[in-house]
Amino acid sequence: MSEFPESGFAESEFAESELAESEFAESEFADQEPMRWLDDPSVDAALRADLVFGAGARAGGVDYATSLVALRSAIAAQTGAVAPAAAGGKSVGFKAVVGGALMAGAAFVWALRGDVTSADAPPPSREVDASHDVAAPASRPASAPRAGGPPTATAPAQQAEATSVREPDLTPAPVDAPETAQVTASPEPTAGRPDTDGSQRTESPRRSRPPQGDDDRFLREAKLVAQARKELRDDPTAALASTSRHARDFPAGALVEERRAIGIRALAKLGRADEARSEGADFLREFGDGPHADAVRRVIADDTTAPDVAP
Amino acid sequence: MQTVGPSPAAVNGSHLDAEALYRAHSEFVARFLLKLGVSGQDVPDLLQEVFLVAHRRGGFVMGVAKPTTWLAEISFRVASDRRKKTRRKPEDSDTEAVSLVPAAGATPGEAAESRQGLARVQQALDLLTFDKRLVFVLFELEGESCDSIARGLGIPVGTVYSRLHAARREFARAHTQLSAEPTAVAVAGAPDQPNDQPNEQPSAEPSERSPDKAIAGAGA
Repeated sequence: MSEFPESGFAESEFAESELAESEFAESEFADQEPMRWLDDPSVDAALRADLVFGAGARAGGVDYATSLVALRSAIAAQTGAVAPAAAGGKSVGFKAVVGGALMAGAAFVWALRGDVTSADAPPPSREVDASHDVAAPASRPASAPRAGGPPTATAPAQQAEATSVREPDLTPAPVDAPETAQVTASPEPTAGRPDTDGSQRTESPRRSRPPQGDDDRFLREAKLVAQARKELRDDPTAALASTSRHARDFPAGALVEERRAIGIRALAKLGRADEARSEGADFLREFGDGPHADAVRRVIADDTTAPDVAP
Repeated sequence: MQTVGPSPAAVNGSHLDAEALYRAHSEFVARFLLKLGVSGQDVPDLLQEVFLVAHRRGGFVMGVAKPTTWLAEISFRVASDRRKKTRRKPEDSDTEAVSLVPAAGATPGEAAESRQGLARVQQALDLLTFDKRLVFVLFELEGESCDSIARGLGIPVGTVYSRLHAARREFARAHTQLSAEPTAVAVAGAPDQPNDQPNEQPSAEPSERSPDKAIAGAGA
């Protein structure tokens, strides 16, 4: 890629190859496009059959919608405040955003408001708008990000180091962007906000807090689902309780699909195979093409063959 | 599988911003990360990271490379970086939440067979060095041309050829061994399924196979 003058790629990552590139310079492979094995009848049939499976495989269990919401928020946060990101690296700012349903909720609400539709503006400008809307004027950058085009290309594998030069034309904001976004999007006390994994998941402060509109509602919903997702790992009973609470509090919420998938997996983990299958069948009828469908199918299949799933 | 709806008007001429890229290629990136060997529990994070890097680069500009191979290069970097920083064992019980799954639409029997085949592929891939795996996955599993891979990665096409050649050799060797040892294939989600894949036949490139040294030490 000419626009990405990252010559370090070949030298750093690929240099690890044990293969001497020149070794094949004279080989039959050096100057012609080989036939894909899948298309080559001379290749062993069993190998090709497995490659068919490999080629057709999909990523199951990814919540693309929620991830997109978080991505928007992360972009907005990055756009809104450079200095913290540069100082903290992605491990702080990025993870806080990615793992945080709160941030996701803020961006989600922003998206629902229709701000995304400002498509006439160049993408970076739209992101600035997002930052503005979500993160409040305090973090609004004084200049458009990358207004002059793509930023200076850096080694993206070393994001923490590169962050400091990725947005050189932004006016550093003196506030922490992710927190800013959260604070603005949700007026609840922010003391527990860094618990992007739901480690601080006491419900009482949120539940006792009066509703603050859609923003607040989605934030609470997202956090509840995140909590259920985490509980699923070690405490499916608690996960089931959380999903039940979600079903009660957010019967038509934005994360119903994920909640139901978590509930089914929790049932399976608890050995409640019949219920898992029943719920799973209903789920697949409704969300058979969704990102959680494969995980649910696996759960059902596992239950069929191994009904006594250890809790 | 795309679940986030059609692309909004984030396409500005020949430019795709991060969100447009995400909408069009997030599934590709997710499965590509998995095929690169990224742990399922890391995929959500890295999926975000890939598109954040895309954003920082100013989005994708139509030109030499394709969006997929361009994103593949970013994915490779991000995954490589993660590998260097963490050596996570695949123990987490929630790992299964994100994983490679067979193509939809199969009967239960077909699904079991495809899981086994997919498991063999993944295990054979695990034995490739990371850069060879990258090229092999892009070419053999994702159907990208060597030329496109070269442009996306910014390396000479001859390098792609040579890496593909080496990767094929190692992959075929590993696959042959795995096929000969069906119990070595651990199939998630189908523990009691018999491994009845008719894989006893010799693998490709028989002249290059050397089962005696097959599975040792290639894992990057």
